[in-house]
Amino acid sequence: MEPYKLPELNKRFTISAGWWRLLCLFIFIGSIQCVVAQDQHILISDTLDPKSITKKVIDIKEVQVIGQLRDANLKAGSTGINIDVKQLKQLPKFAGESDPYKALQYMGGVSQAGEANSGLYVRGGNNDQNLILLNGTMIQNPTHVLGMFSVFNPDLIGQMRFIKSGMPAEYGGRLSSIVDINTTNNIPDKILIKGSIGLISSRLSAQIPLNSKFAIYASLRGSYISSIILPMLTMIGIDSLLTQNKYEFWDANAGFIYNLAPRTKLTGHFYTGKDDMKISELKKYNMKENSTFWQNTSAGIQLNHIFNEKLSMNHQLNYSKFQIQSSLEWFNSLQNLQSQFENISYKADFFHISGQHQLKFGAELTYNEAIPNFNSSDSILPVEINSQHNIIHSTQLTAYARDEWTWKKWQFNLGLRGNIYAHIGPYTDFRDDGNISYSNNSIIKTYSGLEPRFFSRYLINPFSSIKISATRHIQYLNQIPVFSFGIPADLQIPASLYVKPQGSWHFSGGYFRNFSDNNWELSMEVYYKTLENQLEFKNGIEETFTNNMIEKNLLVGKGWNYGAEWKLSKNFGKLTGWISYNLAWSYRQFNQINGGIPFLARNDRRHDISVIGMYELNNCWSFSAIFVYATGNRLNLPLSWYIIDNKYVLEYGKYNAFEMPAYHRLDVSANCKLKKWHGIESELNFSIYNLYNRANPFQVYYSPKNQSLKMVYLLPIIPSVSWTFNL
Amino acid sequence: MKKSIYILFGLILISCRPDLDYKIHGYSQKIIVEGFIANGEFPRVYLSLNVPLSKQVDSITILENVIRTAKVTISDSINPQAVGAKTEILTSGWDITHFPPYVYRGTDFKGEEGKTYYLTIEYSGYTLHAQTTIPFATIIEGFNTSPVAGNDTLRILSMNFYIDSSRKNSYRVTTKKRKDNYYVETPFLFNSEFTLSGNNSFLISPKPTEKDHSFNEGSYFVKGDTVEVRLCTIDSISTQFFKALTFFSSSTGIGNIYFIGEKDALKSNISLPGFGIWYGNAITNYTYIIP
Repeated sequence: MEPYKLPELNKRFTISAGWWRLLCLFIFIGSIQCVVAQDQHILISDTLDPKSITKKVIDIKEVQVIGQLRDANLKAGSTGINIDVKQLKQLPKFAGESDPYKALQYMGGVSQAGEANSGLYVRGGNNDQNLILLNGTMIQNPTHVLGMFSVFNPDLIGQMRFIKSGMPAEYGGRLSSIVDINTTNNIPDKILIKGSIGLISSRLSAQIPLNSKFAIYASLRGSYISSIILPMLTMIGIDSLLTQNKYEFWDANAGFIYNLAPRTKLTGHFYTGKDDMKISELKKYNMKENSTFWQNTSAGIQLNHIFNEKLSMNHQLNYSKFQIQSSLEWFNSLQNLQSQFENISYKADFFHISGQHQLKFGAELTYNEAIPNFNSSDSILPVEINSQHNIIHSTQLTAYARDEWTWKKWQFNLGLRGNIYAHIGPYTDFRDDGNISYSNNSIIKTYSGLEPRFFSRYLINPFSSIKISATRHIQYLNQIPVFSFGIPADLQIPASLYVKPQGSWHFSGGYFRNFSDNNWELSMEVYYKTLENQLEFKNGIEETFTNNMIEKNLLVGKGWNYGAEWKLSKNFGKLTGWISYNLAWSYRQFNQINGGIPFLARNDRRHDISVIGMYELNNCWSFSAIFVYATGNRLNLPLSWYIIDNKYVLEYGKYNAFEMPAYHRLDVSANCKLKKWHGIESELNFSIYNLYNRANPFQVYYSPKNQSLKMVYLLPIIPSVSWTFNL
Repeated sequence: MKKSIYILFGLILISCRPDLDYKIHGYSQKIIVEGFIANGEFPRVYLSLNVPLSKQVDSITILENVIRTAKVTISDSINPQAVGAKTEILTSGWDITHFPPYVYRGTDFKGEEGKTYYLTIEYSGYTLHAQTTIPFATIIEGFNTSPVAGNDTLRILSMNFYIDSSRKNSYRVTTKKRKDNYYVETPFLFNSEFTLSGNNSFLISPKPTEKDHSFNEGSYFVKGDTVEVRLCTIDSISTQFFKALTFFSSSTGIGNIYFIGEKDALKSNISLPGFGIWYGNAITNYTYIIP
C-alpha cells in the first residue's frame, strides 16, 4: 500500500480502513500507531500554538491523534460516541482506582446508579439490557466489590464506544445500550510496563513485542481491602462489624497481537476475574457463616483481513462464562446457592465500500447454557431443596445487513437484523399432571424476530445538525436481580419454554449545535422507548432457597420510558468538561403487581445532573472535579402494621411509591506528573471522593425495632492517593 | 497536617445527612383476622385493626386496636340456618398467651378432619366471610438426633414422615422444651411447593426468642430433655399465606432489607375489608425424650 504523505498540522485528511503507523519525525517522540476502523477522518494537531513552527520543533511534548473530527458530534453517524478513555482517567478516583466504565454514568442518558452500584441504567432501561463487550466477547457482569468498580483494567482499555440510540444493525441482543471496549491492539516498539499502586488495589500490565509482527500483553490487578480500608473505616467509627467483612477481588488479562500479513491480523484475548465477599451483618438473620464469590471468564480470538480498499472482513470466536456461588449456614445447615451462564459464539462481519455507500453485513451463531438457580445442602432441610431445576440450553442464529450513505446534507443508516432462537433439550417440564422430558438437542421452543434499524442525520449548516432514529430490539438473555444492592446474584434466565424474549421500540431525535470554532458543543435529545415482556421475580427470597422451576415463577409485564437530555461540552483548551441534564420518566406495568396499575420503575430518576470539569494548570499539575445530582430511586415502604400469628407484619402500599432521598456528591482530584526518574514516567493522583461527606443512602428500610425508617450509608468522604507509572 | 486531619474528621462527624420526606399515602383501615379450627379442638378467632405506621408498636396501641365487639359465627354449612347445620356464635375473652390478646372461642363443636367450616364476622356495619377445610392429619414416623460438633450435650433433632403429594398439604412444626412455657416455631413451611412425596426427613430448628427459657440452646436440643413436638398440616390456600408471612414478618425481617421482594401483599382468604387467614389445622402431638 502506498504511504500517505504527512499532512500539515491541524489539517484534516482522510485515510481508508486499516492499520497505519504515523511517524512524527520533527518532534521525534517515536512513532504512533492508530487504527482506522472505517473511512474516518484523522486530525493531527499539536497542543500548543500551531502558527509557530519553531515552537513546535522545540516545545511540543506530544501529538494528539484524534480519531474523529472536532465537529464529530454534528456529523457522526449511528455508531455512537467514542469515549475519550484518557480523559476519563483524569477524573477523580475512588480509593485511587480510575474507572472509565463507571464514568459512563456521567454521560447524558445514563442515570446515576447510586451507592454500591456500577450498573448502567440507560434511558430508563434495566442493568441487564446493556451489552458489554470486551474485544467482542460478552461480559455478563462487569462489577467488582459491591459495584464500586468495573472489571475493566483501565491500563488496558484502548478504545471504548458507547451507543445508546440509533443502534446500527451489527449490534444486537440487548434493549438499551452497547458498551464496546477494546484493548490496545497495536504492536509497541518496545516493552511497555504500566502500573498503579493505590489504597485498595494495585495493578501491573505489560506489553511485550516479540518481533515486528507479534506482541503479547498481560495484566494483573488485586485488592487488599480487608487489610487497609476496612480497618481504617472501623478506626474512624464507621462500623465495628466492618472488619469482620471480607471484600476482595482480582482480575487478570492476557492476549496477543499477530500481524500475519500486511493486511491480515490475528488477535486473542483472555480475561478472568473473581470477587470474594463475606457479610458479617447477616449473622443477625441466623446466617452464621456466609461467603459469596462471583467470577467472569472470557476468551476470544479475532481474525481481520483487508481484501482491498473496498472490502474487509472480521471473524470472531468467543467464549464467556459468569458464575456466582453463595454458601451460608442457616438454621444448622449449610446451603449452597449457585447461578451460572455460559456462552460460545462465532461471528463473521464483512465491510464493503461502494461509492457513497458503506455496507456492513454478517452473521452470528451462539450457544448458551444457563443455570438460573441451583441449591444444594450438606443436610436434610429445613430449607426446602426440591429437584425441579433445569439447565437451560439455547442456540441462536443472527444475520444482519446495513447500509450507511451520505446524500447531500443527509446521512442515512438503514439496517435489518433477523434472529432465530431455539430453546433446546435436555429439559424437564415439571408439571402437576406429569413431567414432560425433552431429549438432548430436541427443539422445545423457538422464537424469531426482525429488528429494523433506521437512523438519519441532516446537516442544517456547518454548525448544527438534526438526528433521528427508530430502532427495534429483541433480547433473549435476561438477568433478574435478587439482591437490592451490588451483589450480582442475578438469576440468569434466557428465553425458554415459559419465558418469552424481551422486546423494545426506541425512537430518538436530537438537535446538535457547535459554537466558537467547535470548542463548545450543545445537544438536546428526546426519546421514547417501549418495553415488552419485562420480567420480575414473583416470590420473595424463599424462592432462591428452592430448586423449583424459576422460569415458571416469574411475572411478565411491560414498560415505557421517555425523557429529554441536554448536554453542553467544552472539548478543547486548558479547561474542558461538560454539563449534562436528563429529565426522564420510567414506568412498568404488571397485572400481578400494584393491582395492575402502572408504577414507576425502581431505577426511575426524574432529574439527573452531571457536571464535569478538568483543568490543566501547567506541565505538572492538572485538576478535575465531578458533581452529580440525581433524584432518588423508587422503592416500597410500608403504610401500616398489624399483628397476626404472634408476628408483627408490615402492610405495604402502592408499589414503588416512595422516593429515596436525592443522590448527590462532589469528587475532586489533583494529578501531578513527576519528573522522569531512571526512565520511569509517573504520576501522583490525590483524590477526595464525596468531598462534603454526603450520606447517600444505599438502602432505606423500615425498622420495626426503632419504629422508624432507617437508612444505610456506605461511602463517606474517602481521600486517596495513588501512584501510576509507565516504563 | 494536623489541621487537615481535624478538618477531615470534622467533616465525617458533621456529614450531610438527608432528611426523609416520608408521608403516608393510601392508608386504609382493615379488619385483621387470624382464625383456625383444628381437629379435636374448638375454633379460635383473633380480631384486630391494622395501625398506621405513625403509631408506636407497644402494648397500649395493640390493646387499643383489638376488636372486642364483633359477632363471630362458625358453621359447618355455607348456610348456617340450614337444617342439620352445626352453627355457633363464639364467645370472647382475653388470651394473654397470644398476640393480639383477645380471642373469640367456640365451646360447642370441635373440628373434624376433612370437613369444611365457614366463618362469618360482623363488625362496624361490615360482614366478612371465609371458609376452610381441615386436612387429614400427618403422622410422624420417627425422630432422629445427631450430635453438635464440639458439644457433648446439645443435639440436632430431625423427624421423618410420609407425604401424600396428591393432598397438596404443607406442614408447620412447633416444639416446647421442658423449661419453656410456650411452643416455639421452626420458621419454615415444609413442602410449601407441594413437590415432595413419600418418606421425607426434616430438621427441626426452633427459633426461640430472648423471652424463652431455652433461648441459649438456640435451634438445638439438650440431651435428656423432654420435648413436646406438634406437627400441623395445612392446606394449599393456607400455605400461601404462611409462606409469605414467614419471610416478610419481622421475625425474620431479612426480606425487606436486602432482597427485592414484596411484590404483593399476603394471600388473604378473608373477604374485604377484612384481611388475614381462616385455616383448618390438622394437629398431631408427640412427646420425645432426647437420647
